[in-house]
Amino acid sequence: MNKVFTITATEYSKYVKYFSLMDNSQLLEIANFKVKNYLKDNSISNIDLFLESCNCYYYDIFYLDFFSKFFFKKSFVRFKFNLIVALHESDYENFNNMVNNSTITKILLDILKFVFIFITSPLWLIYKLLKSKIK
Amino acid sequence: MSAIVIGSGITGSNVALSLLEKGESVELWDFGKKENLNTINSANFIDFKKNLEHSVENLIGARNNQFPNPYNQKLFQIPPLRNFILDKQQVNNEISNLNNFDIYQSFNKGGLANGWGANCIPYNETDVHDWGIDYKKFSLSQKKIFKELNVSNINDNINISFNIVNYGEESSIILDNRDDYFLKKFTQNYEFFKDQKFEIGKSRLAIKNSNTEDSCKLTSRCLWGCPQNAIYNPIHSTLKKCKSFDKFKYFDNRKVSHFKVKDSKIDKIVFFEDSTLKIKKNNSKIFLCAGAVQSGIIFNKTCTNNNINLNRFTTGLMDTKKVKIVYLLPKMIGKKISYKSIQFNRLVGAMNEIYENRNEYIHLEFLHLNSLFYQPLINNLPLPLRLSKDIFYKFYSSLGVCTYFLPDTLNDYNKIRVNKRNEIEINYNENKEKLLLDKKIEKRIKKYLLKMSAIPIKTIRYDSGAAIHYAGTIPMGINDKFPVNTIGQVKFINNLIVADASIIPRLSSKPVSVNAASLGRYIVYKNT
Repeated sequence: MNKVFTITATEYSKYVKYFSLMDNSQLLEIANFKVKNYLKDNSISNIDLFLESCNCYYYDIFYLDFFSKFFFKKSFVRFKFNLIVALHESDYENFNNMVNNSTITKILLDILKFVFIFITSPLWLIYKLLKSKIK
Repeated sequence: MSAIVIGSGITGSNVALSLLEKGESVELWDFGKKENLNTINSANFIDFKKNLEHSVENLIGARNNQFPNPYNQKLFQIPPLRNFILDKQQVNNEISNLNNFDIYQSFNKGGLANGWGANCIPYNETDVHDWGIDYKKFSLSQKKIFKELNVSNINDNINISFNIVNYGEESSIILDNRDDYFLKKFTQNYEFFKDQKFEIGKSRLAIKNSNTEDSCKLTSRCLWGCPQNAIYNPIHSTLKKCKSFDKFKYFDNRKVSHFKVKDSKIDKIVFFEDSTLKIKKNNSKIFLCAGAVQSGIIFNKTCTNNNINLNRFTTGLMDTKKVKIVYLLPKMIGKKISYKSIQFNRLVGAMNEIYENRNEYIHLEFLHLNSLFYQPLINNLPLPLRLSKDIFYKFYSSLGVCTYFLPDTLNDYNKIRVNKRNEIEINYNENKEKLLLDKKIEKRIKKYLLKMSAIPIKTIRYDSGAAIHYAGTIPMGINDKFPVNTIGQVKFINNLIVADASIIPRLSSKPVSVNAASLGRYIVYKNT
C-alpha cells in the first residue's frame, strides 16, 4: 500500500482526539486493512494527494473535515473520516462513549469553532496551496 | 398425486405444508445456505455488540463493499451481519443487467423470510377484487397463514376504517414510553386525523409475544438474528412441521435452472445439485414458489429454452417503493433509551390515496431510531463529520423514522427477460404517476408528523427494488393476456403451478410476504 495513505499511529491519535473517541489499536489495524481495500477499487486523484499533504497538524483536520463535507465529497480523506467513525461505532466501549459524551456545551463550542473555520478557510487553503507549490 | 415445491421460503414452506396436510407426497427443493448466525444469548443489542468476538467484522463486514464510499452510501442498508441472506455474487452471475433495480436476492434457507421484519396486513376484498380469485376461500387461507406466522391480534381503528380483518391470535407487542407519547399525541388530535382518514395503531408483526419459552424477550437485536426464534422463520417452524410427515422429502441443495416441456407438460427438470448440472425426468405437479424474482427467472428461461413466445402475454415486475422520513420528537430529547424496544416498528399507520384511478391503501411504519448502525445517517447530515456525530448522539434518543410504501402496477417496460445473448436482464422505471403519488404522501405525512409534535428532518428515497416486496413477474388474470389462470396454473404448461408473489397482478402498499403465503395456500386448495 502506498505509505502516504496508511493511517499512522500519530495520525490515528489525532483522529481519536478530533472525534472524541477511545483509542483502540485493533481498530487502527482494521482501518488500514480497509484503506488498502479501498485503494484497490478506487483511484487516487491529485486532489486526494493535495488533501493528504495538508494533513500536518491537529487543526488541519477541522479544515479537512469542513472542505471534504462541502467541496470534496468524493475524496479519500472523507472516506477515511467516515471509516474511523464507523469502526468506532461498532466497538462496544466506543459506542457507549459516543452516546454518553455528547453535550450541548460541546456542540455549541464546536459550532463556534466551525464558524471560525468557515471564515478562515480561504486563507488556510491559499496557505496550503502555496506551501505545496514551494515544495 | 406427488408434488415438487421449488423454494422453501415463507411461501414455499407453507405451500409444502398445505400439500402435506392434503395428503400429498411432497418434495421440497431449495438451494440455501445455512444460517451462520452467532446466537449469543445477550440481553439486548448493546450487550450483543459487547459479546461479539469480532464486532467490526460482524457489524461493518470484512470487505469494503459493506462499507461503501460515504459519497454514495445508502442509509439503513440491511445490517451487514444479515448480509449472509443475500448473495450479490449469485445475482451478478445470473443477471447480466439490473437497469434501475436494486435487487435483494436471497439464497438462504428460508429465503428473505429469514431476515424479515415485515408487518402482516392482510389483503382485503378491494385489493383482490380484479384478480378473479374466490375471496372467501382466500380469506380462509389468510386465517391459517396468520396463525402459522404468529401474527399479533390487534383490534383497532385501522381495521374498522380500512376494512382490515384481524386474523392474528398472538399477543401484541409491548409499546415503550416513546410509542405511548406518539399515540397520545395522535389521540389528542384524533378529530383532525379522522377527517384526514389517517390512523395509527400497533404493529402486526409475526413475532411470538405470548409468555412462552420461545417468545420474544430480547427485542433489540431482531435484525441481527433472533436467538429464541421468536420472529417467524420457516426453518424453525413450518419446515419443521413438514419434516414430521412421512411423505415429505427435503432437498436443500437443488437450484432449478429451467424446465423442459413436452406435450404441454414439464417433462424434465434442469437443475444444479451442489453446483453440478443435472436433469431429472418429471411426473409430478410442480409448484413454483421461489420468490417473484427467482420464479420469474426460471419461468423466462423455461419459455426461451422451449421456444415459447411470451410476447402475447403480460409479464412484469413490481415492487412497493419505500421512502423514509426521519423525524425528531423534541419531547424525547435526553430521555433514556430503552434497549428493550425492538428495532422493528411498533406502530403502523394507514391512509388512502388515489393512484391510477384507484383509492389505494398506503401502509406506514414508525420506527424509533434506537439500535441501528448510525454512521450512514451521521454522514448524511449537512455538517462537518465531527459536528454531525456530536449532534446526532445528543439527539438520537429523540429520532424516529416513518417509512411508507407505494403501490405498484404492471407495465410494459418493467420486467425480467432473457435477452438475445440468452442472459437474464431486469428493467425497471418508476412511472410519473408513482412519483406524484410519492410527493403527495410525503406532504401529508410531514403535516401529520408536525401535528403529533414531531419535526420532519429528512426524506430518504430508496432505489426501486429496495423495498423487497417483489411481485407480478408471471401475473395471473381472467383474460387471455395473462400467462397464469386464476388458480395459479400456467396456461401452456399443464403441470406447472405458480404459487408465490409472481402471480400477483397488482401490488398493494401492504407488505407482500404474508399475503403471498396466503395466496400460495389458496392455490394449493384450488389445485388439490
